[in-house]
Amino acid sequence: MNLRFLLPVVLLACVACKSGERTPPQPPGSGGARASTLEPAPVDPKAPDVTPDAGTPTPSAWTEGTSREGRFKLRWRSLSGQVPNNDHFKLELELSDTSQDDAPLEHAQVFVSAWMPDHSHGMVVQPRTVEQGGGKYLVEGMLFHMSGHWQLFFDVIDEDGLSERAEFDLDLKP
Amino acid sequence: MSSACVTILPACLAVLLAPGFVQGRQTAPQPVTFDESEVAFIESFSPLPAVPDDPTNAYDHDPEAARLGQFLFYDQRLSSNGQVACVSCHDPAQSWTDGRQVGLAPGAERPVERHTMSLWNVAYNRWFFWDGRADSLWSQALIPLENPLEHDFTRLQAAHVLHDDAKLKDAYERVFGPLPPLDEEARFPAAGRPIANEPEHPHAIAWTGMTSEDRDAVNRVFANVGKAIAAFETKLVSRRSPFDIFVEGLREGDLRKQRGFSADARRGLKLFLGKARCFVCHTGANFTDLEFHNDRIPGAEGVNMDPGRFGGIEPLMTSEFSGVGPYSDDPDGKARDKVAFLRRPVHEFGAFKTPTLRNAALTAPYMHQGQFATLEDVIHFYSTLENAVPTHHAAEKILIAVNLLEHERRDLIAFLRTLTDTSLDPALLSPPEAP
Repeated sequence: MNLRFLLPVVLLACVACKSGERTPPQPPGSGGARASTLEPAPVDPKAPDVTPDAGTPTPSAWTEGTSREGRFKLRWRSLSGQVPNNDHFKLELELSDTSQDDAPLEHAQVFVSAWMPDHSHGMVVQPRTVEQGGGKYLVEGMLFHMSGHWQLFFDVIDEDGLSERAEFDLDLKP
Repeated sequence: MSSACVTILPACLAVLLAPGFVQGRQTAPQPVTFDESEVAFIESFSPLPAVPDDPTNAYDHDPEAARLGQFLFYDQRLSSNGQVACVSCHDPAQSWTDGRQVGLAPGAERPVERHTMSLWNVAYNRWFFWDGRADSLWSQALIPLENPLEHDFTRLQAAHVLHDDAKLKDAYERVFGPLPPLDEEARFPAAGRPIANEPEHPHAIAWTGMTSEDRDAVNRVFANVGKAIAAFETKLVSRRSPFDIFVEGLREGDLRKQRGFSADARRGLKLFLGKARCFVCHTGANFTDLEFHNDRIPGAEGVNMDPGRFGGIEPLMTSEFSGVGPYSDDPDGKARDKVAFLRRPVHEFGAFKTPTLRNAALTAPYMHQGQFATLEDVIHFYSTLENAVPTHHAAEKILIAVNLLEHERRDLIAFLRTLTDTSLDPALLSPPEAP
C-alpha cells in the first residue's frame, strides 16, 4: 500500500450548490488555501497514515445534502476513513424520500460520477452501486486520480422513475 | 589576451546568464525560501516508500524467484533468433532503456512504434506500457516475449527453454514446483501460442491442437516466467537522490543535508511546484500520478497515430494474464478494484502514462515516440506548446503554455537533475552465474 496516496482531503461546502466560476487549481504557497467545513479534522501530515488495509478503519464523518429539487436526502461517507488522493475507495450512501417523511428510499437506481471542471475530465472508472436494504447503498470502484477540485454527482432514480441529482464539491490536496 | 581577461570574461558571461540579470539590468538574486505549505508539499515527494507489494504475484519479493528472473532477463535464448533478451532494450548501461527514439530489437525487421520505457522504479506503477495494457509487472514482461517485433518467441518455446536446461529446470521447480512433462512431444509441440487474428498460423494451429489442460499448464509456466522477471525488476529502485537528501535535511532541520541542494535547483523546485505546473501530473514520491494524459505531443515523423490509453483498455480487459485472471495470485483483491471498474473515457484517446521523473535526466529521448531528444526540448514544449496537436474529441484541459523564461528553464532542469540516483547493487547489472 502506498501511503502517499492517503494524504488528507479537505472538503468544501456544498450540498446541491453550483460551484460557479472557479480559478485554476493553485499550488501551495499561493494563498489559495480553502477552509475545511465538513470533513473530519485535518490530519497531521506527519502522522502515520491509516491505510484501508490496516485493520478496520473508522469511516469518515457523514456528508449530507439534498437533491436539486429537494425530493431526496442523501448522506455519504468513505469507508476507508477518508477520501484518498489517487487510491481506490468505497462509499457508504444513505437515501431518504422527503415526500414520505424522510422514509428510507429503497430500490432506487443510483449512478455515481464525478468531474474535474478545471481539467475537463471525470473519473477513469465507472463506480457501481449495490443496494443493501433500508435505504443504504454501497458504492464501489471510486477513484479520484488527481488532486484538485472535484464535483461528485449522485443521480438518483426512484421506483416511479423520478430522477434528481445531488452534487457535492470536494478539494483533494496533492 | 591577458590572464586577467581570461578570468574576467567567463565571469562576465556568468553574470549575463545569471537569473538576476533581466532585460539588461542586473537585479539581486532573490534567496529561495519555501513557506510552510510548500515544505509540506515538498515532503510529499520524498522519501519514496518501499516498493509496494503486488498481491497478484506471490513471488514478487522471493529472492530465488528474483535470481531466476534476473537470469532470464539477460537470457537471449528467449527469442526466435537467439539475439534478443529483455536487456537488449532495457540496458543497465543506458539507465535500463536503450537511448533510441523507438525500440529496435536486435535482428528485428523494423522497430516498434513506441519509445522504450526505463525500468527504474517500474514496480511502483499501477499500469504498464505507455498505454497501460498490462496491470502488473509480471504480465507486462510476457507481452514482448511473444511480440514478433521483439523476442518473437512463443510461450511453448519459453517453457521448453526452462525444461531443457537442467539448471534452469531445477531453479524453476525450486520456486514454482514441477514443470509439466514437456518432453512428451505429442502433447507439447516445440512452439505455439494463441494468435486470435491468424488462426492458420503454424503457432496458432499447434496451440489450439493441445488439450485445454495442457494449454493451462503452459500458460502457468509462462505466467511464472513473468513473475520471476518481475521479482528481479522489482529491485531496480532509485530513491536516494540529492533531492531526497535535501528533503531529509528539511524534515530534520539538518542544514548540512540541505546545503548540497544548489540555488538553481531550489529555484527549479519552486517552479516545479508553482508556475511550471509540473506537479499537476508528476505528483507523489515517484513523481507520477500513475495515470494517463493527452499532452498533445506532436507525433514523430513516420510513426502512426497512436490511440494510447484508449487502445490499451481492451487488450487489458481481455488478457488471460490480467490481475483478475486465472494466473493471478490474488484475483479478488486490489487488482479487482483496478480492473473491474475501468471505463474507456474518450478523453483518454491519445493519452499516455505519466512516467516517473526519477532518473529522467538519464533516459533521453523522451515521450511515447521519443519525440524530444533532450530535457530542454521537453521543457520548451510545455513552456510554449509549440506544434501541440489539436484534439478533435472531448479532451482534458490541463495544459497551458507556462511561458518559462530562459533562466527558469535552466533552473527547472537543474532541479530535474537532482532526481538522479543510480546507486544499485552491482550484482544486478549482469546475469548471475547460475539461475
